[in-house]
Amino acid sequence: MREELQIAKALLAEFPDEADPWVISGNVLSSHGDLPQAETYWQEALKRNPRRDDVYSSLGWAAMQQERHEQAVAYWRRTLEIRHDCPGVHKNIARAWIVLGRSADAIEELQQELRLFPQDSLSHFFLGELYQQQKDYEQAKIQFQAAVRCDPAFTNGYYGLATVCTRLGQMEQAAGHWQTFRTLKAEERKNLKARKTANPNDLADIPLRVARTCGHIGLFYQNQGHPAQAERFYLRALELDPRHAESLKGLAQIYQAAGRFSEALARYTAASRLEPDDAVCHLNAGLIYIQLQRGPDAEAALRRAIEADPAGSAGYRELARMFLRQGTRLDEARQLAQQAVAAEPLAVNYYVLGWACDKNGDLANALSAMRRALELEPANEQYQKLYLHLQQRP
Amino acid sequence: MNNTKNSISICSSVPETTASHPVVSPVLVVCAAALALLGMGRLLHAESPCPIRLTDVTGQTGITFRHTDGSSGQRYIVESVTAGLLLFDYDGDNDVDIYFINGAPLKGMVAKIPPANALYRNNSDGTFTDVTGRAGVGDTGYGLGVTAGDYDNDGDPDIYVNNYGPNVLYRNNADGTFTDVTEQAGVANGSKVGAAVFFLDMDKDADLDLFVANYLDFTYENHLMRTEKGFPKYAGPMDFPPTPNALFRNNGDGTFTDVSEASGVAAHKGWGMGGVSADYDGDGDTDVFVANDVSANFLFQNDGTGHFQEVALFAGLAYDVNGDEHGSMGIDCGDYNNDGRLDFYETSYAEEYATLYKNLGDGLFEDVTFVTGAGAGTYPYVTWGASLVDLDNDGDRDIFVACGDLQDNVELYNTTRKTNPPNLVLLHVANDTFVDVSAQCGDGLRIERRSRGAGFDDLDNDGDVDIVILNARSEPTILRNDAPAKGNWLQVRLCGTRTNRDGIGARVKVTAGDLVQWDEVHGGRGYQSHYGSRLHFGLGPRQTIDRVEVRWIGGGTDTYTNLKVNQDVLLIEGGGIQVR
Repeated sequence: MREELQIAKALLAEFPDEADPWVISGNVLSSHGDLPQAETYWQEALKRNPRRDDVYSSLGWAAMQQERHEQAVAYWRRTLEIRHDCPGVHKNIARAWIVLGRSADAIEELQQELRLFPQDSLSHFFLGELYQQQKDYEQAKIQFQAAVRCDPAFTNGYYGLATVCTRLGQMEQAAGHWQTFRTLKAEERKNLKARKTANPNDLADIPLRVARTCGHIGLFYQNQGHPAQAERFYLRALELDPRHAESLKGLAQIYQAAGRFSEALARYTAASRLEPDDAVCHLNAGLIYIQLQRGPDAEAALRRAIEADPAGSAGYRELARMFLRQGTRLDEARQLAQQAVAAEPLAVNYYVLGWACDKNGDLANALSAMRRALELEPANEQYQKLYLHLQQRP
Repeated sequence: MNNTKNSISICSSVPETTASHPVVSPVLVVCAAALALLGMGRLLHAESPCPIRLTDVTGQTGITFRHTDGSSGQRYIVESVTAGLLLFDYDGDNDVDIYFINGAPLKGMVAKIPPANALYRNNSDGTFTDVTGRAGVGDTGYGLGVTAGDYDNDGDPDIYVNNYGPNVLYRNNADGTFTDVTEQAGVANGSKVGAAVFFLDMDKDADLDLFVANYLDFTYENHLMRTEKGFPKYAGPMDFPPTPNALFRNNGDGTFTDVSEASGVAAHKGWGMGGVSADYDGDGDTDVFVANDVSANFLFQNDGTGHFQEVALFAGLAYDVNGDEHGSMGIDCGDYNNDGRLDFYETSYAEEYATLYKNLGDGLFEDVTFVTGAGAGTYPYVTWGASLVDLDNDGDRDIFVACGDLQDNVELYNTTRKTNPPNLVLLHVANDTFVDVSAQCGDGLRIERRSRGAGFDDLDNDGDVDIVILNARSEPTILRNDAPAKGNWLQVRLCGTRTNRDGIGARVKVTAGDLVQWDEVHGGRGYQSHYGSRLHFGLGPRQTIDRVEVRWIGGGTDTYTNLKVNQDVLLIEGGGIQVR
């Protein structure tokens, strides 16, 4: 733990005018259980970057934790000023109003949360509690029903439902909900017991926490353009916690940028084993395989990227681009480029589509795609060049 | 997909992102802290003088008792939960005496003089005399819970101590001494880790039966210590198997029969702590409400014959408003809104609110903690003994809460908590809500200890309720009520003639003009303690008492009319009355 405090302190001494070192130090203090001190560091971070909605959000929780509810609301209002659709913030404000006895205000905030996130089961649940408190049992029931519809395994939602059905005299329905509640609660208790038994003390957690801090510092250095220092902290993080995926990814990015492809690939592969759904890892691995001219490996990696994030466009685009560069499977390349455009209508995707259409002999659609690319990025010289080339085509 | 630079997000112990589902993660301490509904900010206006004043008079009482938990650094879980206390008039001289429960040396601790429980006789002049040796009640077992009741109906209160180890029943010899009759009575209850204990007449046969709560199955062999942020701390109850509670039926001849199984009580295993016996459903028999640590509470509903059904879930008393369990500690009951129904106040672990359950009638309760402000100030602290008690005699019940962390080093890993916090007083104000006036009601609330059990009664017979607090590993605290402009009052003791002698379980209704109040004589309450056999009614400015009605448990109802205020009366079953 001493190491964690020391490295945070050293970072702060090196970059006193940046917000992130203050945030990191605040995080360290908070995780050491010194919330009041953490607050002062987060406040310093805000002096350096007053647009940090995440800092306001944590300050809100810290205030709530110490029973300064009105101050918590004020912090969360600032969060919303910066990011009006930040998930959970209206709900948090509602919690503060509930404990301050301002039910009407709480209801209003929960309704706002639900306008933004209609599937938020906890907001429905709290709304149900507030209606129940006002003896509006029918409305309460509707909200509790919505809560368990959004999250069918929401134990507390069934507690609310059973309670309100009892109050309404709907004893048969209540019995069913009580039964569901008891079943889910028993499962929760079983899991809780297993967790407690598996981890009799938290000494094992300490290196993990220090690793997380080292990872954050590594990321800060990376963002600041100091890859050597970033590498040092990522390596320390991995020494403490070989499963710290963020450090593996950060390290891989540094190696990739430095052309140390095999080392980068090893980290991306390790990170992908920990987080198989992280499309960025697969994508970057695919790009490295392309550089290394390992086509089949590249294709496999890019297809995993598509699988992990089918709504994203980069996997489709880069695979299309690879085929186009290889001059093989041109029809498939065109289909992939079309999927990329459908997923995200970005200039680069239209560019690859134009290229693919051209390679497939479809000049009209190639021109059309390039016009769209240039509409989106008129100053892009590469697009201008290809468009001119196509226009000059007889 | 985004391959660009990431920003560093806040990853503190109160991260917004992991705080979105409080009610479903009550067990993860860090998350739970961020999740529960937090705090109450009602304030008493600065210009309003606080009508409650509590003065620390510990040093003037002559009480030298000092509690030990028997610890030697091993952190055996039983150390963290000891102990309760008893306020009762053992010698019948019309003032309240004090019996403190003590721990005992655990493995690894050596004591030259074995610590013992201590009985202090009230000298009626603000001082107390240690009469433990003479009275013969210096049990050296590891004490946790205690109660008093006249189990043999001979006119004086007997004592039952619930230990880690064999329990003890002391029969009052009516001459200032007691005799250990545990063995002949058959109530040692094996060698368990005890908790609260209640005398109640479960079958309305006019003698007191005994409900003995148990905490958990701890042995030196299954002991373990945990750490938080690398610092050692006590293990939690879930590290040990839960145990069922026990029930003993009074045979009427000085012996008891274990009816734990037959009564239905033993069918339910829990981690019992404090509790109270009370007729929560107003059906004329005494039920039992047991606070369970980190699990659903138990409400044992009596069918009137001593058979019990556990109904806490349906009654709304098993969990808090969200359906989450608490680390429940103590329970008191009282009619906080004067609607004729007994409500419950439950204390709990840190980062949970002490909880007020309003009795809705029909056997149902509602958690009204947030709408009433009854949990104000309790969130950072582990809370133990508590009472719904009228501290300013204005005719409604305020709340006193004894606080003290379970751990003895909590500041090392959480600076928002205190090992030795102050206690709390919540003043009952308009619309049945409460405000935290702890900082405004005298030096008695500036004392900071690891408080555990607390008792409430009029120690100096001046018409207001004083407070005794047992502090772990420390001397107790005695708070004298010096309310600056207290209202009128009535104190009522009961004497059963056909029903149990102490009137335990009897219900009393006092009508003074527009003010109607109810109370019940309990046989164990709060945190592993007993107090309040003499019922106290604050009356505010009212000058006369129109009616007092007593419904005896298993008996009839007596009515007394036109009583004077500011007196202590003994109401004798059948209609007799003595002014004390």
